[in-house]
Amino acid sequence: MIKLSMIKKSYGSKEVLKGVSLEVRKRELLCLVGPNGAGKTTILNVIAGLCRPDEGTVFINDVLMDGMNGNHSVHVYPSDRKIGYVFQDYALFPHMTVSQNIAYGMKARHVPRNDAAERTRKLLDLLGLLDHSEHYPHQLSGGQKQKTALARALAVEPEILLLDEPLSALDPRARESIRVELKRILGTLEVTSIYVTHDVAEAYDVSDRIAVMGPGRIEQTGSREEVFSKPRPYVAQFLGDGLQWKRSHLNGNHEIYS
Amino acid sequence: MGQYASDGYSGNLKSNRRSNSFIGRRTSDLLIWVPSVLFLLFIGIPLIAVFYNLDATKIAVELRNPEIISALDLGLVTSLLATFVSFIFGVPTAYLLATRKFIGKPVFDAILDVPIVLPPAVAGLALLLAFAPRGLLGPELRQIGIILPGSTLAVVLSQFFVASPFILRSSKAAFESLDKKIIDSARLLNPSRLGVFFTITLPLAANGVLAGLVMTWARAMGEFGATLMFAGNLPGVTQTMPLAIYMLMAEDPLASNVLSAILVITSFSILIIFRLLGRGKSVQYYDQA
Repeated sequence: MIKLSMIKKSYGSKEVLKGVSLEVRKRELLCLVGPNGAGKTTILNVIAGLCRPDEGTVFINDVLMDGMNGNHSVHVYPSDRKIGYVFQDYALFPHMTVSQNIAYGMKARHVPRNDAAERTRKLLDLLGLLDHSEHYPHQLSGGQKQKTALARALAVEPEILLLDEPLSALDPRARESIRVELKRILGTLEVTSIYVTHDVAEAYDVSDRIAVMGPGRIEQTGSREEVFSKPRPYVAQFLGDGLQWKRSHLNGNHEIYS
Repeated sequence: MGQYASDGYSGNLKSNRRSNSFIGRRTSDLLIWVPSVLFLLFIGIPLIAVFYNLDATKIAVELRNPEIISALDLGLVTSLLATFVSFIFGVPTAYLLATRKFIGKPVFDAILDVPIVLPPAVAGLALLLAFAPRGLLGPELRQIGIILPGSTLAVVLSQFFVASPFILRSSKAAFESLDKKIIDSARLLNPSRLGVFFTITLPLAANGVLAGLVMTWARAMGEFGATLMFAGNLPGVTQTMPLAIYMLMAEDPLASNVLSAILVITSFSILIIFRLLGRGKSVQYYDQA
């Protein structure tokens, strides 16, 4: 479970987050959707501890991660938050092979070597990367990099999974197949996830619940049916971009979205 | 190279000034080639001249000259020590400057850059005024039994003073150019900050750090002015290769010539290593770096 209360964050004079509150329930997949520059990635960075909020509190599984505890301010180090984070452009370690990338977190946490090797192999298998285990990131396709990033994040058995625009760096053809596969994999995981996207169709397809962001704040949160059938004014306008999608949706391709 | 110059640049000229494109190409070729070749000759001829009077037997004989051996010895030892010290101080400082914000950082940064533009003789005098027995910190140093001028330590310090900015600059640029998200992913996976530094940050910055090391070493080995002013010119104690070359010019020109040749070869080798390092980087991380 993730709980953000009144998170504010400014960079210089630019207020990126203007008091964001958000709750993600245990084991649900929440889609955070909104236009570029709304502050979606900053929210992920706050949750991950990579960015310290100016105000507000962050709880993960009822433990205070950021905020005031009595008189002293708390900021838990990223690796102590049990978070897996898949960055938009993957941020793989370029000097390590796929296997080494996946095993990195386990090695750093002194997981016994045999257990780490076994888990790495399982993840390679789950993500269809067995043939690429000894390749370096620059030898991989976009989809393979993405899967490597996901495997690396999952290797340390996170309680929270953060995915920042996981499909955006892929070419359109790869996007469709990876989306289906990603949905399958996320479905098998029992992990609380936030999936960030600016693509309404992707949000509708992937999520249990949706939070729609406007610049610096969350405009509406609810089940996807709620959000799509009773959008608030800003949300309705933003979802308008999805009309394009609805049309193609009605013309077929039902199975992908059902 | 020739192909590149004529195809690349005159191609542009041609499209802009179609009517006299032929003259344009000839003129532009001349404007490019004449200065380039003159430039190459001016730098290249002295480098060749160093070897003009030498042959293998002369070099072999001079290599047994004790003065040359001690200058070589001292030069290598001090320059390597200075490079090591530059590494120990330069890399953490580069990391600090690249990753942290603090009050006075621009001044901090600028001060460490000064030795690059400071005339070495001024650097030597400044070191004297600071650390010689009658200098600013002289009394304190004397109390703990350190008298720097005339000591080998002073040679190392002179070289460190003059050459350290190279590793600092190069490492700082390398740290700054790292993808912050890669470091962030490591911070999420690795509980140890030092671990992140040594497994991710430093390896990814390695080419820049190594390039800086090589430049620092080359500069340290060639250090003349500051060493002469601060450490002096005592054979076997403070007389490094450049000092020996200068001193031997009068009494034993051949020895001076051989030492110079050795320095030219060393510098040239360093440069080649430097180039190879640069190339390695572009191949290896081509996609993500």
